[in-house]
Amino acid sequence: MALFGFGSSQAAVSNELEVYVRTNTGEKVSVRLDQSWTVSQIKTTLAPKLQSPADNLRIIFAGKELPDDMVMRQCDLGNHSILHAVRVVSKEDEGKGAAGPSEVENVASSSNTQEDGVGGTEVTQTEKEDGRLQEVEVPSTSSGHTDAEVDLRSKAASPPLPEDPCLMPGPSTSNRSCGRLLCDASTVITIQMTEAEQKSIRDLKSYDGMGERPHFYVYCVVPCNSVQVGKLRVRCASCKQGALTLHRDPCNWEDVLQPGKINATCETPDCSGTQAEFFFKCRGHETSGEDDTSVALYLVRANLPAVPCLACTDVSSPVVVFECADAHVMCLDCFVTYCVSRLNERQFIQDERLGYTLSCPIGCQDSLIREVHHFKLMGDNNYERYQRWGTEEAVLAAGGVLCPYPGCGQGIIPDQDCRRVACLNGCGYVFCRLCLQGYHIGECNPEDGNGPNVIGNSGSFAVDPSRAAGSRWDEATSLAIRVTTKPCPKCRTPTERDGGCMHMVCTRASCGFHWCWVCQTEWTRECMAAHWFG
Amino acid sequence: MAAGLPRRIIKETQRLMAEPVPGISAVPDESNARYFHVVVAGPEGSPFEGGVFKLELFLPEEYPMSAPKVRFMTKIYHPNIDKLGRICLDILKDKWSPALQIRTVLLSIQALLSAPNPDDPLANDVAELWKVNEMEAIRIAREWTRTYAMGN
Ligand SMILES: [Zn+2]
Ligand SMILES: [Zn+2]
Ligand SMILES: [Zn+2]
Ligand SMILES: [Zn+2]
Ligand SMILES: [Zn+2]
Ligand SMILES: [Zn+2]
Ligand SMILES: [Zn+2]
Ligand SMILES: [Zn+2]
Repeated sequence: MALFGFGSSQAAVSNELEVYVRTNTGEKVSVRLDQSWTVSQIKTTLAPKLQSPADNLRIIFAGKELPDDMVMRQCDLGNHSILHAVRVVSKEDEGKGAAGPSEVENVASSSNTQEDGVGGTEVTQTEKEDGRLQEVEVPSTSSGHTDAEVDLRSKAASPPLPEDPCLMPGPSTSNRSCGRLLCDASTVITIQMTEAEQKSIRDLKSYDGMGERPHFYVYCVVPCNSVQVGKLRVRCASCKQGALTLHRDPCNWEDVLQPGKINATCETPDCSGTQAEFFFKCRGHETSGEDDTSVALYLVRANLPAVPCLACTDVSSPVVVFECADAHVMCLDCFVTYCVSRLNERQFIQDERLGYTLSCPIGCQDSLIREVHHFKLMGDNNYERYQRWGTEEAVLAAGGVLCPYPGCGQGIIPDQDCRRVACLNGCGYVFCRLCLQGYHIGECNPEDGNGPNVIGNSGSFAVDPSRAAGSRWDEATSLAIRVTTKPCPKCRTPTERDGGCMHMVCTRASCGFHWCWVCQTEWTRECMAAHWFG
Repeated sequence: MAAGLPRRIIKETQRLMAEPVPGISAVPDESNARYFHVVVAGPEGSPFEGGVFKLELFLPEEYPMSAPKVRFMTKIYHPNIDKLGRICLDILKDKWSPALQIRTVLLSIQALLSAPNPDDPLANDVAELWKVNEMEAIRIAREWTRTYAMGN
């Protein structure tokens, strides 16, 4: 009965809703209700249908009993959501008046009703989405679901929802005195509740606790095109239907992101699926169907422990938490700045397995970002650049060259023994593979400098190296420290010079070419002798 | 002027004023909060002892994603500092990380004065002499300190 079904939070403009009400005795009735109704009004409507006095009904939603004066709108129900109704035995009926407040009443022991037919469905998360019923059923323990029900009831009365202790950063609310099954059930529930839901439950329990709650975050490509709070969903890996029983809860990102980690029993008739498949949906927009899923940004987390950003030292939420041992934290704004500045310097790392990516800004080991959608945070233009350069890196890694023509950069994989390269699919420029200058017959002549020079990141204007050298002194002695850039002779990445040394090392991580600022060719002994610095 | 100045720079500046690094003063320019006038006292026991060295430090637009730009204004004879006062220090280049601060940079520069590193030279001739004839190099460094870094 830890049941929850909420549609998209922005949905349901109309106040009318049709919901299903399932009872602990296995009945299922449909009810039309108005979102302005209170729980008490629903009970009144249900009473005749369930042949039970309204006072004897309890409505359970999202693992919590809803108080009589709660308005349905606060529950964020979607059309065709499922509520759970539990009949309780009144004190007079039971003759155990001494038992005291109703919380003590044991729902399951009111088993003069035939609840055994229901099997293990008490702890059920349900969602109606895309016109399809989706259920996750946590299996009953062998001792029967009776215990689970009892526990659920007592939990419903207890104030705080436990944070998910295994998936979320920050202090875990450790007091898990209840049974294992139940904790797991409420764990799954908690991580799927909207802020509004959690707030309403906190409010109704007058719990003034920790403020923000953990969330999953996703990158919603269409239509939101931004970081959004995500909803974790699960379905059968075989038939993609939602009615399945998990054999255990997901406890970490591996469980959720790697297929086949969690076994399950599919309840869909004729399906013998045995594995759960997790996916994420964006909470920021109304779902457009079952294919409307989003990518989990597993590094983005609610900043519950209030860790300051390593770059700006402000405390904000959500934040990016890197996977290094120190779990370095950066706010989203600084993360974007970090990525863009590394992108501008072409300092992304080309990793064989992970592709074009970045590590923690401190450079910690084993901190490479594994999900490239995190780079979507840079915005469309930068992400496009990121993808292009990532492709180029792959070309270079495969033994190719990049067209040196300013603004082109087309990746070309030329014939092994041909020095003449034509940018056929790009700008058409024909160049020498060795010196990347315009194609020439005979030896490369580095002093020539007649190739397409690119200075700076933005424009493309040719600069006479000797003139640039001549103007250095003035620049260096001016009050503000100014910097100049020249393209790496090998890969054309603009490289900034801010020291007196003429010995340049290409900033692009995978190039690292040593070159001479003056000659704009490979760094040599002669360069050291002639103009090491100046 | 302070409008648009990142909070981090404001905080760092406040802390630099409140708890200055011993032997170093760093004061933001009146007209540009990203530009600092820095004065470093030559560390005791080094050839730069007794000298007062002026530096300029500039926080580029991308700070703290990219390193501060620092330069000695006072002439100094040091294997890791070139004629134009530019400093060869890894944390100002590839070892920079946004978790480092102005304070860290200043401390590193102070340390560089205490322990020159002729194997990672910027000023080639100075480094050469430092390796071949350290006594003579130190003598020149002292002389330069007296000539350029004392008395004004
Ligand atoms: Zn969305
Ligand atoms: Zn199935
Ligand atoms: Zn930040
Ligand atoms: Zn780290
Ligand atoms: Zn081209
Ligand atoms: Zn050539
Ligand atoms: Zn390069
Ligand atoms: Zn050269």
